[in-house]
Amino acid sequence: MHISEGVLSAPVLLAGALGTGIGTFLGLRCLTSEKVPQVALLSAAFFVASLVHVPLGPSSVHLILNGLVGILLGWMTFPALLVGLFLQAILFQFGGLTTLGVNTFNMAFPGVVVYYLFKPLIKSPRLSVVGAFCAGAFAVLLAGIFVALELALTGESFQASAKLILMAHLPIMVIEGFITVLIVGFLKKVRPEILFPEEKP
Amino acid sequence: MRNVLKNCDPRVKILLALGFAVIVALTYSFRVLFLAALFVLVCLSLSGLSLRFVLQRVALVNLFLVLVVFTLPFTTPGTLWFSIGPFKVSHAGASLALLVFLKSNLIVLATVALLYSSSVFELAHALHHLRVPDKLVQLLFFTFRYLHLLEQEFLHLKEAALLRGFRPRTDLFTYRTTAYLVGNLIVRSYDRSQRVYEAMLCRGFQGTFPVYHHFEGQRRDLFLALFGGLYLVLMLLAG
Repeated sequence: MHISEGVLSAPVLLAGALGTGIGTFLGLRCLTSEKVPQVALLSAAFFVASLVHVPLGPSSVHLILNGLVGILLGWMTFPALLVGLFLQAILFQFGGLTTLGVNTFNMAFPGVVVYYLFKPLIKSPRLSVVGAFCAGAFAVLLAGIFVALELALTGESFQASAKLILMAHLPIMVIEGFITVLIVGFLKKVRPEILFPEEKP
Repeated sequence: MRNVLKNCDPRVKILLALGFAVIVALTYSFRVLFLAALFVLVCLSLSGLSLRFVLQRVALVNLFLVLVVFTLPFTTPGTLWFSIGPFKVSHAGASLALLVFLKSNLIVLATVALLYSSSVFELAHALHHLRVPDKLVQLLFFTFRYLHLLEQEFLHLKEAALLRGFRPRTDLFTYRTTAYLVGNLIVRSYDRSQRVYEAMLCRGFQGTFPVYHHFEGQRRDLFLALFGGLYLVLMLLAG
């Protein structure tokens, strides 16, 4: 869920921009010029994947996959999603220039958290499924909590919409968890070096 | 006159759009919004974009807004304006909802008018001159370059699945198929990135892109920067 322009208050926008700035700085330090095309193409792939709708009962939801991005890219999630969200802002007007910092932080920070919490689990052969599910679900949950918190911090009148948004994230969480398990399983079988680049022979 | 903005320096346009967005996002005064609306009208008429196109763009934005704008009047405390059954609408709430709605739409309109008249590659080049880190600009460049290609690739994969009788439903099979499609997309984009990088190395890539077209500040750009900048200052003073 991208927050539009003109909704949030100045301190919230500033905090988001600051968080994204630090994250991007740390991410760019890991990003060698050899990895630029790789991260960029993954960023483009996730952009495309976020346009995919999966049916859920009578309606459908689109994939977010910020947990998977986090697992694959670590701190580089920040620059990858910053670029993706910038393109979404100027091509589709989802989000915007002043909310770029906040929106990137909402998506990327949970990705980094999930990277540290669940990547070791995913590596182990027995708990891989549990780790992948938690990574996908937790990243979406955390993103939802951030959005709701930012709205609530902007003003008391936004608390109702904050609650609505948090509730809307709950079913998406479960679906994201499942899809992440399946994608991680697929990548583990087909191309483990994408998941664990450090173990490349 | 109709598409003056198209030929203007994207560096000036980015700075103007950013300044405008920040000022409007942070204001709580309708006077500033009135000035902002005039600015948007001038920019739109100079951008050469068709009205229909612009309206389509703006319609998309209001998806997120609907949720916020329709709950605000009911949840903001203040003097009662009118009530529908148990729901009470306050004056303060209604004006806050209107404010958020106007702010959001004005910023989007200005961004469309100023930035849509340049290509993403021009914008990336301009960002480089505005001291955005090199690797970030390269990331932007590559992501945009391969976005359309990967979308085509995904559509091919999906078409193949549909031809084999795949019908999306709410079941495990659908989720598994979708996940494998996305997984395939990731594998393909990874492989392509290796080929792209090797091809770049073969052509002597040293970590920077050479550029053929350089920006040269013209009188037009100076005018835009001067008048745009002064107008933004005026908006700040009015707030």
